[in-house]
Amino acid sequence: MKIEGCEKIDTDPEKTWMYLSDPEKIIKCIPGVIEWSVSQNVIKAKIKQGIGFIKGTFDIETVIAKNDSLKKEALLQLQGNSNLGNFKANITIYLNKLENAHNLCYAADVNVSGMIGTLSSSIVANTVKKIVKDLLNCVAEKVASL
Amino acid sequence: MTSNSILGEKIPQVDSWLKVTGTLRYNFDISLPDMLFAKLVTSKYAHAKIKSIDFEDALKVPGVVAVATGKDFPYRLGIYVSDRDVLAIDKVRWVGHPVAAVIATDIGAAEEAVEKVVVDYEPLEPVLDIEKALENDSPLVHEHLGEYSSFPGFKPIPGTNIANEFKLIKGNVDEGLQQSSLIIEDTFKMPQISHATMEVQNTIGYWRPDGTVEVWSSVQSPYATRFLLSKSLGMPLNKIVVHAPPIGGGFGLKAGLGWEALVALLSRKAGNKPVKLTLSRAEQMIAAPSRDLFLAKVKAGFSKEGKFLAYKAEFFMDAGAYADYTVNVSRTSGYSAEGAYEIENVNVRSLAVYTNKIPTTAMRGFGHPENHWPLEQILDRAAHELKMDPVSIRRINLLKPGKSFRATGERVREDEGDPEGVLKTAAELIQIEKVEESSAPWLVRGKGLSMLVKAPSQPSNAAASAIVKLNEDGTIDVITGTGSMGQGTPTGLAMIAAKEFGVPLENVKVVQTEGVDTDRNAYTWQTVGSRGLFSDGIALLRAVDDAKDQIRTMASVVFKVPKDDLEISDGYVFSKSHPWVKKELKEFANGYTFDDGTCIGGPVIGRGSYAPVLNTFLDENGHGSNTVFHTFGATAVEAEINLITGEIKIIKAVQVFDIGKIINLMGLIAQADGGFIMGLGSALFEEIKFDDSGWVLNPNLTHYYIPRITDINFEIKEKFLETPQKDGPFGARGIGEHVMIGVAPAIANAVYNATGVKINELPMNAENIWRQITSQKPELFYKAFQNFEGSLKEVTAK
Amino acid sequence: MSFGSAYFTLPKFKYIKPRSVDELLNYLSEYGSNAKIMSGGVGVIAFMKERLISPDYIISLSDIPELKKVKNDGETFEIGANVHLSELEYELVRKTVPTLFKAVKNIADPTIRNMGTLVGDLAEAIPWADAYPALLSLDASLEVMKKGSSKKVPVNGFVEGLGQINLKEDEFISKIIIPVRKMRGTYLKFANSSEYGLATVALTYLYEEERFNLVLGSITEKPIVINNADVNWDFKSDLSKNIEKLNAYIDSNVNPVDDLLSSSKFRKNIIKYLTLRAIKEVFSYERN
Repeated sequence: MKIEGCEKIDTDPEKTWMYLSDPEKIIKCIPGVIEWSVSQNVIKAKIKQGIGFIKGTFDIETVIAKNDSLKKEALLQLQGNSNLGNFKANITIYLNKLENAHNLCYAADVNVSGMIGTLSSSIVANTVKKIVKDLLNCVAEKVASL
Repeated sequence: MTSNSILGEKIPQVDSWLKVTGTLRYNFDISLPDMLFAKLVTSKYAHAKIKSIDFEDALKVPGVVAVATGKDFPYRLGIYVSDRDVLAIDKVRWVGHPVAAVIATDIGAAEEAVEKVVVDYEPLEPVLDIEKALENDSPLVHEHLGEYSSFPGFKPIPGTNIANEFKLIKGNVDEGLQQSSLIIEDTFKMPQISHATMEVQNTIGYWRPDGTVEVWSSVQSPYATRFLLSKSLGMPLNKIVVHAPPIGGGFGLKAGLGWEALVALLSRKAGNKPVKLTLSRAEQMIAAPSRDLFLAKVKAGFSKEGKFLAYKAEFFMDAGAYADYTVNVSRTSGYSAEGAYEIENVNVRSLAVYTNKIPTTAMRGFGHPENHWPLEQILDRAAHELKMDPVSIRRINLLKPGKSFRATGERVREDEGDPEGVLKTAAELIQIEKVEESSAPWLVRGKGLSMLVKAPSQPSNAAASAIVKLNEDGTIDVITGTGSMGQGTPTGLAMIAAKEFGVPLENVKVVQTEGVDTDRNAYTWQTVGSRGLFSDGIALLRAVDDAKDQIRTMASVVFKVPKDDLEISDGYVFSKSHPWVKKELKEFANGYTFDDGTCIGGPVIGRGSYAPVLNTFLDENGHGSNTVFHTFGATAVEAEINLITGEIKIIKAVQVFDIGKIINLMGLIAQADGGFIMGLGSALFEEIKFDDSGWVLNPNLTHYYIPRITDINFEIKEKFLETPQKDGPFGARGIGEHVMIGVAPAIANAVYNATGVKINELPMNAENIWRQITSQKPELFYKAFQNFEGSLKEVTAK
Repeated sequence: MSFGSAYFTLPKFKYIKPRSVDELLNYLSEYGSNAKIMSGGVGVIAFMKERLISPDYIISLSDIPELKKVKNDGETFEIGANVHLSELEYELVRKTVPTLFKAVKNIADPTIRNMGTLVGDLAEAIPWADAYPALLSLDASLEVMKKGSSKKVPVNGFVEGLGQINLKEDEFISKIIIPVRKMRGTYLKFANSSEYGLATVALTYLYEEERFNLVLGSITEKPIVINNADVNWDFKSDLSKNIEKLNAYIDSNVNPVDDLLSSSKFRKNIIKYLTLRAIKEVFSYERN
């Protein structure tokens, strides 16, 4: 399934992109992280996440396939396994300039299997969008206080 | 008083009281001192290389004794083709493939430790579709297929995903099709389904310190299990014991080798302590086998009078990651493809194909629910096209006992049954000519019928044996090898022994009522194929004759009369010519002791052996003579279809079988009813759903729906014809699988006859039927909805 | 919620059995973030078996007598949190709140209903549950209690989505309150090839007030509420004209989802069929 969205950001695009590109910083904005490690362009993490009170422990591997800080474009390849199910996602992230602000946009190609695969794609998409929204709000807050 | 009356009586089964009081001990209930518990770590990938398995943290969980991986057990398993490993070595082949096993002192510790085993995989491209698996550039599920050993008659094709190929050729099918006035060509499909046994697979393995192996398992055929263990572990048969308690449902899932090799080896690894593995329902539906997915491409030709001139069929069985019984299921489905009919020209190619999905195995019907699905619907469609009725088109094509030959070249015996009588009876009971009115204009009623026929699918030398022992008080122990899985065989055997000795039923104990033990029972090939009462019954009758001969030998001395003057019945041994000269049976049970204390003879132990006579292998054209009996039957239904929702409701069902001789009537009725219900499940509801990564989406009984008591709100009429089979016990044949075979095609025919909608795929759930109605006959749907909306006009708001 | 549990055991937890509501609220305020409330346990135990939740504490309601009460004083019908579903299957319930009666009859099966509760079904927060749509159609409210306070909230908005309920960690629902009015109602569930309904309809018609609530459940993440005003239902005019408006409304505004149970298209077909059946049942003249 395809999950896409944009969030308007008021903060400085350079600072925001730098924040997003730093695993140590981004991790602070992801709720439920139990442990994590980064090696070159691969981030491995164990995260307790889910939908509402239904939580599972996900083993996630993220490969930063591309990060063009000039063009503000990135490509991430994610894989996650948990007792709730598994997912594979290729995500393109890019920044769009608006009149007085910027739009941080993402377009994800997602495959789910296991229990998550029994749910409607709208439930999955809504969950993903909520996580992304919370993440970006957190990033905006942190960047604004820099 | 003659006790011939006991045969055909409707009496409770010999194990009913034990079951309803909870006394009967299943393997699930068994636990041993010092027993350890095993839990599986299973693959998350449909196809991947195993790079490493790290279980250091798992070993640290308190209570964990050991963790085993594939490398610990380099043995190959397989009932026909040794395509199976004990635990995955180097590669995983399906989501659910056991990769490691944790052994612990309690199940909680094992479950905790399983979560701590870390497996590093390198994913490979999976092949999840049967047609893709047959393409030249498909990923190979078994790259080393050529190195696997196989049973004679089965030939996997190395370098491909083909586990077995079977061909059946009779006449010239292309010519036959050319001569045909009517050709029907279509593709049919049935999904994977689960056996859904009430008792999940569970096994205890004990590798004893003296090197012998003892196994307690929920299995149907302990002698086969013992044999396969012996072959795969390289141990002599007398060093292995298999205890098989009565099982809570088998249906083919538990027919061969399940987890026995694994737990025996785990026991050895855990320091020679018994280890028990019990699967949860989810594990049962992911790590253990299902029934094959079936794809059939068929082309049938008829003359304008309805004569079945040609049948060209390609059967593809998706066997999953290891083929187990499926190589034989696909072979059997191939050689029986013509069903109850004589078809002039037949060409069948039946393939068992590997894919990276859950493995498959035998299931009740063994390829016949599959091959009857296209066949019986083609007949109804041909009838419709030729403006004949479904009964007439079948009648003119039925096999004729004593005259016809099957496509394999095997003659149809004179005493094989009365297929015409079965057809006529079923048609009459369902009143197939009478058109029924539905209760509303958006509902429509239809009737459908399916003939069926099946023989046990067994090797030409599938043997059985029996022992009859007299206890000192004259009561009788019957010992054969057929396991107890609710199919009624122990009761049938008890009735036979009671009848033969002329004693009340309660004087007879059939010892396998409470389990089969390879050390203590008598050999039978397997508890499968509807062969139990037939094969064991014949062996039992021979054992009874042998016992009677021993009694006569002693009685002849005691009564001073010739042996052939002696009769045994009503619990007495007496002289036929001088009937007042008699003694109770029990006086001879343990040898005969005279008044002066001297003794002759000894304990009466009758023995009987049976093996099929004049059965052969099938050659490369599928020709040979490989069956012992065929049971003809017919299933018919009256169904009501909701044209708006696609729901199918069964109004009435009919089950007719030519059983040869009714022995255990209550068992027969239960089989007819139970088999219909099980067939109803796969006809209307059941389907194992996969996503495109090879995961099972519904490994639970919530979303894998089997019939509940609320779904059985209709009458089932059962009728048993008795055309005796000369070599069957009292003329009887088997029935255990036949009861399920015709259900799906009968229902599909009912839908077709009511609506003209052709159903090629199972299950016939509401959404699937709705899709077919709206795509094939959309006007029926729209009219129905209009009618329904119209019915609201009678209603006014107040 | 059911995928299939590989486990035989439950994750470790401490089991607490308070004797009164006050004691319960004390425990909630202390352990709330790591606790789950259990009545019959049908939902909680199943979720735990599948490792969807792992509370450190399970607080049982079974020893608190006031939560077992069912009260009907003619004005409100109140159902305590620990009232088992089977206890609602009697004539008075069928007469006063027919929508609820029929919904309860459609939940799972009799054995489960001996253990399960209405509050429990509500709190499971799954799209295919039956309690929420029925209670929505009945304009029900919930009494929500926490240490030191108690409030009454409308049931509408309680379930925010799959696994998401509008309830804080130190709060619990002590009872369900349904206003008693003259009504006709029905609950229809279409389940095929699954225990869960792929489409459900709850319809409560307050005939003296000329108002109705039609709730469509199981077809989307949250139930869809349609009342008579939404479709300009004219109680004086022909039923067929009103049905046309309703059908048109459903066609434009109702977009069912695709999931394991059903496709969107089939759901749409079934929800329209169930809606018409519900209207037929509830608006038929003989009904009393």
